Amino acid sequence: MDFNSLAADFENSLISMNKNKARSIFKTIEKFEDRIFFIENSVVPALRKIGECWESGETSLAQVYMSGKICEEIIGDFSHEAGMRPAAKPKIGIATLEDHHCLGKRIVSSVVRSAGYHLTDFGHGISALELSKAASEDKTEILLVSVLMLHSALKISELKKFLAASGAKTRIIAGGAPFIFDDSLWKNVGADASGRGAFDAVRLIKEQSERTDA
Amino acid sequence: MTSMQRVLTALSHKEADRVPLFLLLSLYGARELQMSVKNYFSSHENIIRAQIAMLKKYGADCIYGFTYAAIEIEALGGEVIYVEEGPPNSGEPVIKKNSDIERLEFPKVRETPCLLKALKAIEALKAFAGGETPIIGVVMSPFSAPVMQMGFEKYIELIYENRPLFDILMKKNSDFCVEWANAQLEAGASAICYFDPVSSPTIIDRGLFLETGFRVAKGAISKIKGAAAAHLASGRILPIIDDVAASGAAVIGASSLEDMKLVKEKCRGKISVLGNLNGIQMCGWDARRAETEVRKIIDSAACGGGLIISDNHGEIPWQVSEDVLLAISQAVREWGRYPQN
Repeated sequence: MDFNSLAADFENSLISMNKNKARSIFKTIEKFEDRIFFIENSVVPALRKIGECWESGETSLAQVYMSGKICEEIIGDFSHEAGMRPAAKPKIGIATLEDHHCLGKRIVSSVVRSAGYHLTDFGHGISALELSKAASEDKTEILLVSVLMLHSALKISELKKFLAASGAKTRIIAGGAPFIFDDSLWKNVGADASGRGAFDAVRLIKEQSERTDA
Repeated sequence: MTSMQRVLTALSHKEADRVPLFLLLSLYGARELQMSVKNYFSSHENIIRAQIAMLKKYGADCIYGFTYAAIEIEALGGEVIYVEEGPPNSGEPVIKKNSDIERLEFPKVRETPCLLKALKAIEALKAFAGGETPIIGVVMSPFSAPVMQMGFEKYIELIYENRPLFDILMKKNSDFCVEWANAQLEAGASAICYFDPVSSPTIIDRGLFLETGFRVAKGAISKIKGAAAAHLASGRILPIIDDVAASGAAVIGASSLEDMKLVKEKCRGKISVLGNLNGIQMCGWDARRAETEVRKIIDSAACGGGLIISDNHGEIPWQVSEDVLLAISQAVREWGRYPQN
């Protein structure tokens, strides 16, 4: 089986948002181990590449969203059929802080789930206090915080204080438009890391997880 | 030169006495009057008082008739969420499922209290400004409004997966958009800012834009009885500048993510450029940095006219200091004089 050619076809099907073609390519892989190999070495890298191309202006957010959704569906069905369970560690949570626009959260969730992680969705329009309580009770180790508006990004500093006051050692990864327009904003609001796009999420989870374990 | 003369000269791709400056101050009026954002937008009298005070204080070349984007959702009976020190946001979508699109009914603009409030503010501001200072009215584009009406995810799926229903929504939104824009022009607005972030290549690819947002913009702008500026609210514009010009817009808002020199080269003689000070970074600037950033834009794009300096998003954040706004205004006066050497 020519994985390189399959991977290229799969990536093209994502960019053209052809869900049926992506699904049929995945189904041509028969063995369980080969499918796992394909997910790790073709699907996740394809999502990362589409995300990186968004940052450079070569793909659109709609393509990033739809490709993530397609992959999440394909891998979700495969995992369900194979009786697989997503990785329980690290304990990851995600929320859209204050804002009611959830596209960023949805895209990051798709990418993270496609990479085999379980994550708890704390919802949207949630305040810093509510989110800190939910994350503390859930013993969240890594909290992905998505925002659209500047004032919501600034609320991360409150979230950080509330988490610290509750004794939680949750690490915060911030993302969303304000962080793209100001590279230093995530540090100013007290986040532990920030990504420029959903494709950064998996790498940052690994990095922050290592720091949590250390 | 009056501000109006300065702006009109710039828009005709000629050099005025200096580069015009648009400080797009909307919720910042609440800060000016030292009141909550919710209280501020509760009365057209607050808007009038703040806009006049800010025009005198900062000396920009426009009055901004914009209240908040979610006013169009409020008009539909939807929820508006007020926050401290930030713009009012739309709450839960009014279109919860695709079948709601066919039942969606817009109210008449002149029978809708929240829109009448904005129109009263424009009328009074026009009476104050006469013909000396342009007043900018604002509409959400029919193509971008569904992000607030139904949520971003469902809307992207609608565009890709249900074009007939998408067309129905565009027809309804376009009719409202044109009525709302023309009501603002009749009230005294000099031009309409057509906010259309979804059309940006940041959000959708150009091919899809030509099938959708471009077609919608061309239809709506042709029926708006005044000049229109397309603003993609921080989104990239370079790949679609020619298309936006072909849609009938006289001005395009530039993103701070793009090189203003390249933007200007592509716009020259076809469409004027508005931008592109980084509104997020502006919150941390001091006066010196503000001056540097203004000079960068002037050096890149002032030559030959066709430039209005502004922020890149279409709204100055609450967190920007007054000193920075004053420094921007001063820098435009000092470094934006024509002829440029």
